[in-house]
Amino acid sequence: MSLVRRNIKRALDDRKLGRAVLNSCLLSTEKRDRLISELDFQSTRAAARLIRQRSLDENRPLLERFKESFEKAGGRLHYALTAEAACRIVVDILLKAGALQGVKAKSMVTEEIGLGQALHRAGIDAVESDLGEYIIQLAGERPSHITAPALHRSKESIGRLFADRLKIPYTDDPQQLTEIARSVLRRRYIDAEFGVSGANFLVAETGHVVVVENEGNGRLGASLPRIFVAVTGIEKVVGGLSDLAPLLALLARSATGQRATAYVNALLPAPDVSDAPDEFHLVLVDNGRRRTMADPDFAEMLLCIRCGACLNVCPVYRSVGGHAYGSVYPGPMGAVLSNLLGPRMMMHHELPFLSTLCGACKEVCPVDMDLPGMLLKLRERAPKPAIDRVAAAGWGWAMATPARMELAGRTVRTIGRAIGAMPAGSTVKTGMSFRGLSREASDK
Amino acid sequence: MTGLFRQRWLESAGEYVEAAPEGDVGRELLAFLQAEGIKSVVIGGSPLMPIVGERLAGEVEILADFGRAGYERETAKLLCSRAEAGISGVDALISETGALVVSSTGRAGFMISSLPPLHLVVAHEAPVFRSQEDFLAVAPTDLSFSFITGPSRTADIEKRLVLGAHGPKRVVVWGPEI
Ligand code: SF4
Repeated sequence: MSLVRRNIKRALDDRKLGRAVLNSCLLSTEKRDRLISELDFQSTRAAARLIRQRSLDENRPLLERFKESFEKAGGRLHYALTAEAACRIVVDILLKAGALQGVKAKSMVTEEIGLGQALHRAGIDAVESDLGEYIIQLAGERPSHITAPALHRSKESIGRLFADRLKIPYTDDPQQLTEIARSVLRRRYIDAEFGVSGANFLVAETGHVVVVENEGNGRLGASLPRIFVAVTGIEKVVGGLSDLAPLLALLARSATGQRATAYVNALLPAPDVSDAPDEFHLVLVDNGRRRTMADPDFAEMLLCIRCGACLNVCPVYRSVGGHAYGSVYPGPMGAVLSNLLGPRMMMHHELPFLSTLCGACKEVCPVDMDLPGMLLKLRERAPKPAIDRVAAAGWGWAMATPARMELAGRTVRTIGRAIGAMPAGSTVKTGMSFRGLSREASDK
Repeated sequence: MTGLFRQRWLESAGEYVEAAPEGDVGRELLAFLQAEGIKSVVIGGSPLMPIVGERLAGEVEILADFGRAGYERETAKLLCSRAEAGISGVDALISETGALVVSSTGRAGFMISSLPPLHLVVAHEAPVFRSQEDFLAVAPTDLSFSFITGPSRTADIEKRLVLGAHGPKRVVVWGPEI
């Protein structure tokens, strides 16, 4: 049994997990829908897409411009071709500065490059400060969602984890658990010699590094410690500050169902200011991005602003959660992106089959990416045995559990009907859309 | 526009107090601090702050007044984390999103708005912009700044909203009369 298949089976057998993931996805989607309807969604996302398209089309000149502005303000820019190189750069910065303990804010790119493990190996103590990340760090787990890393855990399981690891009386009250984490981490912030964070956008004209967050840990990490290291992908650069407006409006609504995120921090190096770090580093990560930009089939994937909306609406993600994908990036965006990054293409060739091609991801995507189209193209590129194996795994396991179907709501019920026409173990034709399958099923 | 700001700000769990016109915002702040039983504050640097500082002097403990003196990072962060409240000005208000614009100008603007559990914002004379877009078109190109929309928050445990994650639990704005 392949690893992905085993993961999926385990996820489907875990009823509590299924319920936690589904509830969370439904809540997020509901809030998102309410606030998106305030915008002229189609025209705002068209504007956002244009801005992001320029990030790719003019990537080199924009990065050069950014470098100039950022360095003029006193920042130090680094470029990492691979994940290993990126980790080495961060480790070197911290060792050279003698900064051995610090705080880390949530960032998918640091997960992608395995920075946590690299710091640990180098004897550098970096505590995760985002509440969700802190929870999974205590549990020794990986995030299961790109914006809500501990989404797979119930409050009871978090309560038990805190009681066990922090040696405190059990509580499963989210308010109390948050306060406990706040006080533990507050001490770490005061003592921190460095802060590490991701970045949502880089502004070429001014050199601002934009960090969007709700908890306030991002701005603490960027203003309290003497060393600050931001790590982000080369595709995050945009032209000017004004380009941020539609992106921020869409990101807040799509990611957390808010009109505005609690903190949008536009950070500039300012070495002689008391609440800015002495050293402000930015590590630009390639790790397959430059290669992807040159690939007409998949360059589009780099428009992604990591909002997580496509995960929340995906019937497969809703059923199995993030860990089943076995990749840092789960859900529809992860099934594509995981195959583009890293040392070579198609490292996760089974993932494109974990989709019903229902198109919900494309409908919600704030930059209007054709995720189903890319999933199909990846299926075509997948090594042949993967198709048979995972078609069965993906469809058979993920879709053929009536109880789970019921939970996953209307979309999945429809899929369930489609699957009814597909005995377990049968293979899926790569070029067939969900709607096609659905029709075929009702014809019978 | 101020009305919309207030509405949106309240929707984001922020608090709003109408500053009396021609009033003395220092006196209003002092009354608020006394009512809340707050004894120690840090004060940020903005043109209005010296007046506020004078009002509060002798009444509450002013751990640091960043408008009057510069502090080393280590001192600044210890003082800000000991204070029960941080008082600061604001560079602008944004009505559509209900956001404050706070810049880091070397006067601990980021620490004051991050470390104490309560952040009091003197905003009755701040310029009001309609949208983020309008502000970004004229935003400072050589400063760090944040949009702040309500108190810090998290929904990482079962999507339940909890206020007061790493930043303040309450943010109270003294804004113009509406
Ligand atoms: S692919 Fe689109 S919907 Fe999914 S995370 Fe990226 S931007 Fe959001």
